[in-house]
Amino acid sequence: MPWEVAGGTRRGAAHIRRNIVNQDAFAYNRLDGPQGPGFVLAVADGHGAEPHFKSDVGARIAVEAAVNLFQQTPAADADPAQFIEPVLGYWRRNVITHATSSLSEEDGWLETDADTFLAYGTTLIIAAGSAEHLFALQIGDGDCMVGLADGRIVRPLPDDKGLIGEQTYSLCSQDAPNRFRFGRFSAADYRAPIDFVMLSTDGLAKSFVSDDAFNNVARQTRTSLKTNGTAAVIAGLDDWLDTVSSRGSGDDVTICFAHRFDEAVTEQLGATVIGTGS
Amino acid sequence: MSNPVDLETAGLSRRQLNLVVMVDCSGSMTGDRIASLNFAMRTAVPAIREVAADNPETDVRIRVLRFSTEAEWHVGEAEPIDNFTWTDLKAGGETAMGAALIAVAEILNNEHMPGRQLPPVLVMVSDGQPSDDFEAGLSALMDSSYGTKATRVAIAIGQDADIDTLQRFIGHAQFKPLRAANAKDLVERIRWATTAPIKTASTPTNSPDPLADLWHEASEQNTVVEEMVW
Repeated sequence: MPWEVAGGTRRGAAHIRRNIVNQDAFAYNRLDGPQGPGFVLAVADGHGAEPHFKSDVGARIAVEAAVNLFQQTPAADADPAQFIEPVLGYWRRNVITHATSSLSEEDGWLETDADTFLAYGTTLIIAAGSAEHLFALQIGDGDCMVGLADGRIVRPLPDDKGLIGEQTYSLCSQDAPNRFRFGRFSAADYRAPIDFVMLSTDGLAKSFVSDDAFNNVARQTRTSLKTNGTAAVIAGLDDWLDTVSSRGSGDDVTICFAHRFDEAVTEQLGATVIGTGS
Repeated sequence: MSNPVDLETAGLSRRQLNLVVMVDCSGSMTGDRIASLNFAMRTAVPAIREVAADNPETDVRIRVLRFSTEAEWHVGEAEPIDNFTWTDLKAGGETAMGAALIAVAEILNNEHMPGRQLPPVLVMVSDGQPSDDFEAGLSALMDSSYGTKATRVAIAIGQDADIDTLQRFIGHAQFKPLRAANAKDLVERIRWATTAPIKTASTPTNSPDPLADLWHEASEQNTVVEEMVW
């Protein structure tokens, strides 16, 4: 059964008020290959503070890395750790390329590669897989939620450790390879096929009163996609995200999802898409 | 068109930011010091309201704790900043800083600060040394749900303030206690301590160290310490 993939991002209410660009990005693609139909999703949240003045570009490069890496449904026995170095390598190479071609002295003097990475700093979440297995990688904050055919919603990845307050880990950190959370998850372990995956930047979850309320958002999104179809949900998504931000966190808000669609009621979507709200 | 989720029933909510001001009301604060502190807090309140208004996605609440021979809540229920007015404090007694930290530790949890929270901001103002068990208080604070997450700021009034103790309360090597040597300093320090952390915490950013700029600003606060008048 094929997958439907979709997503959206909106500039946060606080960013609009301060005339700051949307620093989130997302990407998705439908996959195929020997492993059968699958998907890849990615969301990234550029840090936004002054030292990270190109973080909107850093976020876009990060999600590009995901769709560049996963061009076929990943093999079930792949080692999730093997994806970290290619993602990080792609991001670092393309950040340097962008900085070399786009930044001038007016943007500030970036003496070392580490300085450049800092300017483009961002989080990243990637989910790729099929109904039978899922690979998830995450550095920094944001949420990866998985829906199962029996209706359960689960969080496959553990929480970050060693952070205080609102701190987060980043692709721009020198120890980034050690800061990824990752795993391989199977329908057999869950005892139910995977039929829904939702990634979001932290601006979404922080707009809801509790983790339980946010888990319910994931549950209801899955139900709405199943009931109404992807096209109908996408049609109202921008307004929905605007309301979430203005009545919630004020931050940029980004959501990206994959679900196994019912061919009888939904339309075909699914060319590779890379989105930013800039 | 179909919304993913009905937002009227989904628990959409602004994040709450709790500011807790802990004021040393011991005998050494009597006279000009407590008068200056009351004046400083009265002038800080409109500034806090202004910062809150600039960040409408943040629900700023304030509590005030006084400590002398005992610790007691001056404003115990989290008051929305728009409704808050400063009621003057009086000084007299000892410096039960440990008891103050225990009292604050008791409210740094989901029961007293429900819903989605930004890290609380704790502001300690003191001119002396603790007269009770500071270690027990600090331990209780750090063991509380939000203790280690809280942004902790300290203002040292005069030359007799216990800088080492206030530094341990802050718990961040680069962030020193703010020094107030006279009434003018105190007004400026209290205004900064009650507004800058709120502004920082309310700004949507997910940088690896979101408080770095705040610590830098704090160090600039301490660059000029005028002649002692207290």
